[in-house]
Amino acid sequence: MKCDIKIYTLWYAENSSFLRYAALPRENVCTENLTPWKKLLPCDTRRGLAMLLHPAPLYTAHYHALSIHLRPTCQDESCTSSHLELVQALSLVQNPTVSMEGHQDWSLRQLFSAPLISTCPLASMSKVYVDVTTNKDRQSFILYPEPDSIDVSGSGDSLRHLAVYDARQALNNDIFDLEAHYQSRHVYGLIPPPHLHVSRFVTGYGQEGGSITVKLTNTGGQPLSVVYLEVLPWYLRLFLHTSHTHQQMQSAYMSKLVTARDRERGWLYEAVVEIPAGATKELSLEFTRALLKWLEYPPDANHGFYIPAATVSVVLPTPRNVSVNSLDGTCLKDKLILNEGASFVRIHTETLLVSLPTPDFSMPYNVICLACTVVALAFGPIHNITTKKLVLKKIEDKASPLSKLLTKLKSLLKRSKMEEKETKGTDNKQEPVIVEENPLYDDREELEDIKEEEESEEDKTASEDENKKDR
Amino acid sequence: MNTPWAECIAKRVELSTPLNSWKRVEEGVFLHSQGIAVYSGGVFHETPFCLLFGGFLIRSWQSYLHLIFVGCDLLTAALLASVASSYSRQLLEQQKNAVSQFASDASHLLLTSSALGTGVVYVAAAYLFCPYTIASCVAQTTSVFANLIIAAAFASMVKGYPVIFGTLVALVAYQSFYPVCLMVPGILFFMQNDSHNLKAALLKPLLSFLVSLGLLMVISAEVAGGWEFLEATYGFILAAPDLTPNIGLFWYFFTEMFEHFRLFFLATFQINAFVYVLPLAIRLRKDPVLLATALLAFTAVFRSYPALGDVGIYLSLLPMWKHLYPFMRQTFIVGCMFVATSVLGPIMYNLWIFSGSANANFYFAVTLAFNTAQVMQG
Amino acid sequence: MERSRLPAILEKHHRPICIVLYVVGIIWFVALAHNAFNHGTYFSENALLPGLVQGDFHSDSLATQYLESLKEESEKHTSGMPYSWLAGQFTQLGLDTFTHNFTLHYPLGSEKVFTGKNVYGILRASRGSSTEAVVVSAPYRPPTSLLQGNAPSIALMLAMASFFSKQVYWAKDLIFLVTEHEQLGAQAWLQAYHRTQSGAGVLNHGDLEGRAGAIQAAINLEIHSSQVSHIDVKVEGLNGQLPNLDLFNLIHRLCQRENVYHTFKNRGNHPQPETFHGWVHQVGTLFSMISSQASGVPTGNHGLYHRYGIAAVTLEGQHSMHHPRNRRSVSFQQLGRVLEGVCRSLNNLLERFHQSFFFYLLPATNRYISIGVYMPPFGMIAGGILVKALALWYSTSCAAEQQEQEKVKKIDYGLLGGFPTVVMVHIVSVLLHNAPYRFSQVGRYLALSAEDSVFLGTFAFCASLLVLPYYISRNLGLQNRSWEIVKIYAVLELGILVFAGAVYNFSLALIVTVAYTPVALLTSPSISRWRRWLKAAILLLVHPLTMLFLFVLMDTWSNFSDLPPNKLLWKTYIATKRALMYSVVDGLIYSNWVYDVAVQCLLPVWLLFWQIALHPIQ
Repeated sequence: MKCDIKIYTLWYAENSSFLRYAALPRENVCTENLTPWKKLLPCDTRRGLAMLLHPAPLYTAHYHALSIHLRPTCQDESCTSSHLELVQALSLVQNPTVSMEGHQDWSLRQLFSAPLISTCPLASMSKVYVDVTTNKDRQSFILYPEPDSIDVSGSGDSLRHLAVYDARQALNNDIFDLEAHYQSRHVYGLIPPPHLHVSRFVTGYGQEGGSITVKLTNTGGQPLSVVYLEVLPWYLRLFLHTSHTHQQMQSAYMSKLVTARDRERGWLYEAVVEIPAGATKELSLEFTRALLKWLEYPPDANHGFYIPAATVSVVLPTPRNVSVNSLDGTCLKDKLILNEGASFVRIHTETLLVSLPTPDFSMPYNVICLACTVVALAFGPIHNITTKKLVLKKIEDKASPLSKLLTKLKSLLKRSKMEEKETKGTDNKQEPVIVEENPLYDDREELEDIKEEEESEEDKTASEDENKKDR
Repeated sequence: MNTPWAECIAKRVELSTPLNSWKRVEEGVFLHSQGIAVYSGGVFHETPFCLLFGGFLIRSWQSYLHLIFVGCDLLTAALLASVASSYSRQLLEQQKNAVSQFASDASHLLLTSSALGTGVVYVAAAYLFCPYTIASCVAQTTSVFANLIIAAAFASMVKGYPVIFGTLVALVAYQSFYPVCLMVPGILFFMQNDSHNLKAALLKPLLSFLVSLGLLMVISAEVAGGWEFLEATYGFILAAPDLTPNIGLFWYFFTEMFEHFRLFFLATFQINAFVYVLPLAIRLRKDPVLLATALLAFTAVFRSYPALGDVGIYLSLLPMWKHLYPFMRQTFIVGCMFVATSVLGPIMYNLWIFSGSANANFYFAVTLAFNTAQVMQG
Repeated sequence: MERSRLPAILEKHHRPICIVLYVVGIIWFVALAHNAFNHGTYFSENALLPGLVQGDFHSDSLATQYLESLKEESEKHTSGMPYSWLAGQFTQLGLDTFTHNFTLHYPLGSEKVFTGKNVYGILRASRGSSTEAVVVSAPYRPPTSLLQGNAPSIALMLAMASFFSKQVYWAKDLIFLVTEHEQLGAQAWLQAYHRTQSGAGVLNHGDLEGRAGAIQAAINLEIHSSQVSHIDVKVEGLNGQLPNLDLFNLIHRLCQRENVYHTFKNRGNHPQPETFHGWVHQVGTLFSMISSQASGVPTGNHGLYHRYGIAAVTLEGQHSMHHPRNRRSVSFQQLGRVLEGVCRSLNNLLERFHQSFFFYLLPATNRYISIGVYMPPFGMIAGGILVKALALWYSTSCAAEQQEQEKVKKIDYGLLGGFPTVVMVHIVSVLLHNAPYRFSQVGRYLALSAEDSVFLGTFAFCASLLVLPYYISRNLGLQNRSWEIVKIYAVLELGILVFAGAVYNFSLALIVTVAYTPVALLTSPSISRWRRWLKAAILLLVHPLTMLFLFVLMDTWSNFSDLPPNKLLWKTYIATKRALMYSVVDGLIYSNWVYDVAVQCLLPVWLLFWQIALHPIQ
């Protein structure tokens, strides 16, 4: 099997319009993803290194990543036809010392709950590599069984010592359980930070707004130019003018922005940030939170909404602290040999959780009724004053409530009967009374007669009272 | 405006809606300067003219911005005072012509010029000292400019300049759509004033309105580079997709609405905002200024994104009719409701959004009570 | 113009109506402490699943070791915090450890600058992606501190961190926080975490290097001894804000499960709550909660988290002789299991606390009074204010009409007539609100401490305000304005203050209502001299400063009941000075708005009443 196969064509890698970027921030990687991933392997889960991958120890690890890479590669030297190359990678960070009171001896059985018992017959090679760069002179730990060889590559920041085990040969003894025995217990010390580290968080409190702040720290000796790409959902309404004022434009240049449309597309924001050596740069995007329609909330609406991780792409000047920086090779061995000089690194920031204001989900009918009540409260009186006419009525002397009731009943039975105020200057107060003016009534003529008589008087006082009714 | 309170006030939802917030204008201007299509996103919903005007203000007058807003408020108050004085003069004249028909003991109901004189002062003072308009000005909302144009439209109507009136109403309708109903009282006024030339009185304001509106649309299309601004401005006002809380009825109603009925209720609510024009016009045909104020009041309650600036302008016009206050019932209750809901509203909003202790229902209930008080007032 | 009958009836009988409403309201409120009127607590958030799993904590010996070494370390640092030791312990447990520096520019007096440092370690959840976090915090108290030592909390926290780091079920990150300078450190940490500023910006919060996502809940530990007699749960937060009731219930349920004696306000539950003595006991607990909530001062560091939407409580454990029953003292193991259960339940949470009540009063650890139950009696007590306002409005409009009919213009009943008085009173209060800084400056020249200068300045200012009515009525020529209009303004303002305040800080509103409603009803100018002095004396009793003094007096008497009266009064005087100073400073640092409300809202109302009481009668 050749390890140095060329890429078939690079056209897809050089034209950024072919880039598609998607993120599912809420999904957790779990056994559901691991099982189909394992089934892509030629020997499935029945033989080979994949037998080490039991779910329980994998998902108690501190960091876990699965990846699949597909690319067209040349079939032979002349590169006339292409193969499709599939590279599957599983990254795991485990911390066995925590449960062992500082003892840091580890073995395959302990890390994966089973040793290696077979290799895949379809594989052309099956190797295990251990990075022993820090173990010169075997002072820190001793590997058991002894490695078949130790490959040294690179120098300076790209120096690598790799202990190589050929799994096929090791399995002549039926079981291959790689162990490391350490001389002393582990002491947590100061860990030198990597060349570039990124931290992203939400500032502000409450559910009205906030801002997404990114802190980019460059601990190296050279300035770095970093591309920051972020995809945000539409319900965080960004206000970019606060973060891209004139002063800030010098160090952070917004290279691409696709504005969001409500319920159609989200935000795509890309900025290029210049970070001087040994400095920290901050980028902060102010947003306000939208109120969604009640059916757009997930069942656990008060959990919040996830914001996908942002991507930071940088070309580091040295491969210090980089695992793999050669993209050309196919075999793991070639990838583990670091190239001196620039290394391309893509870092993903933390995902964020923002909680949006929620309406009360139990109240749709109540809300509709109450809002319509207010509309009706306006409609009713307006309808009243625009369809009814005010007419004067002489007030009666104070009568007992019973006689009043009787007169009211009488008036209801006899239909509306209006009396006119005959003399002016009486000492009775004028009390306007609302009378139904309905053209269907029989005594419309009576109405019209009376109307003519009191029209002049009514003009002045009626307009006054109309205005009063308006209020 | 230079105090730390200014930023706090500018964020308040009762004052800044997605339509009149100055922050959005700044964002729109920024996006425009970056060459990004402003109306393809969902942040900027002002008209292209406002984009130009706002851009000019931000680029050249950034440090004097608050002075400009205060100046606009003062100008508005002066215009309203002139409206009040003209109107009261007209009322007195009308009363003089009709005094022979009145009952003799109705003399205490007659208007006097001194009472009307104080009415003018009260109108100006009401606008300048109304907490709603002051807060609107401090928050730097574009309602300040809309109020200025409305006051100018009133002034041109009362002083009898139909062409200017048509243009001003076109300007304000172009910006906030709902004040287009002010054309009706305007036309009524001109027809009454100019009773021997009805056709001219009808056509002059109407034509100037249509021509100005057409010009504005064409200029906007040029500035915005196409007609997609229509969807972002008028489409936004009519469809109300942004459910940010405000003092209106739309937001919570449409948050809790079933999708199936959305279009139906949207149409109902928008028609409701305009349905009172015709009946009130028929009823109040003799008093167009009152009609205009009443229409302003109803649009302030029933528009899709009301703000306290819209409430402030019609409240400050009310002292013109202070001779009617003795006939008003429930002034005390309505006044108390206004004060109580204005105090409780921000409290409930804070409790919902910042403390997380209360619910959206409390804020909506207080908003409903505020609107009820306005309706009872109007 | 004929009016409807109702206001007339109301005005005629408003006095007895108001008195009846007030008395019935108070009786109803006090009766709420009886179990027949309140409800038992229950869990609304089913995701908590409290106590579902057997507690597994067994590292109490480790906790004892940590306690010994911490005590040794603190002997070496008598006034500061052993930062490096703490940071080292967190690091050795495998946590991400960070320190956080903050500075306080003291706003009054000599404007000293205080610096402090917090130490915190983050246990990253292996299955989660650092989107949510739970905080376990403990304030560090050096041996020279006046408060009870807190070393056992930190030791327990370290033991818990060691135990938790071996577990695999964490979905949220755990932040273990040790703060310095009590509430200042906690406030600085929270401000740095959320990058916000509160108060007058005098607290420079620095920046945090490590964060863990959105904080869902926080537990603050104040355990004063390794063998405590009971666990007291403290809930009152800044400005009277309370955490979600579910968190309180969670602690009590887990304490019950682990056989830990648990109390609220250091009072356990009465064995027979249905009897009269049980009711009296619960009334005592209720009033204790009201008095601590009204001050707006948080009873522990947890109170600062509520503003950020984070549910938090403080667990205090002390070795007290007040519970002499034959209860075994609570060991580290039991405490550890309680804390483990709490953290596991919080780990189960999918959503933030939102289901249960945020506004409640607690007469016992297992009974609660929700807002829907305590608002009606409060509405009755305060209803008298509204009835009085309506009655006054009606009587003034009748009097105005009558005056107009008689064509005599003796008294001006216009609404705007009362405006100048109201405006002046508010201007004066705003002056007083901004005055403490000036007072402390003046005090510096006179070589007085900031406490003394602020108190004396405020006292002098208020004393000078007593002659304000004479100035207003004589110099401003407002004699012929109606005092009833001014009273309408005053009563309406009081009503708004009380009802708006009831939503935010119910206890404060309750105390103000109970004190001011009779005053609102009684205040009116009188002709007879001794009546005027009597009303003035009653008004002086409810002046905000006197009320502060009285409350501090009650508090001092309950704590030191065996002192002779003159010593008691002297202690009260010193405590009042301190209380005033703290409320001013708290307002500037934490934005505790009790001082602001008392000076800018309550004092104007009082001044208006004072002006009415001394209004010259024609």
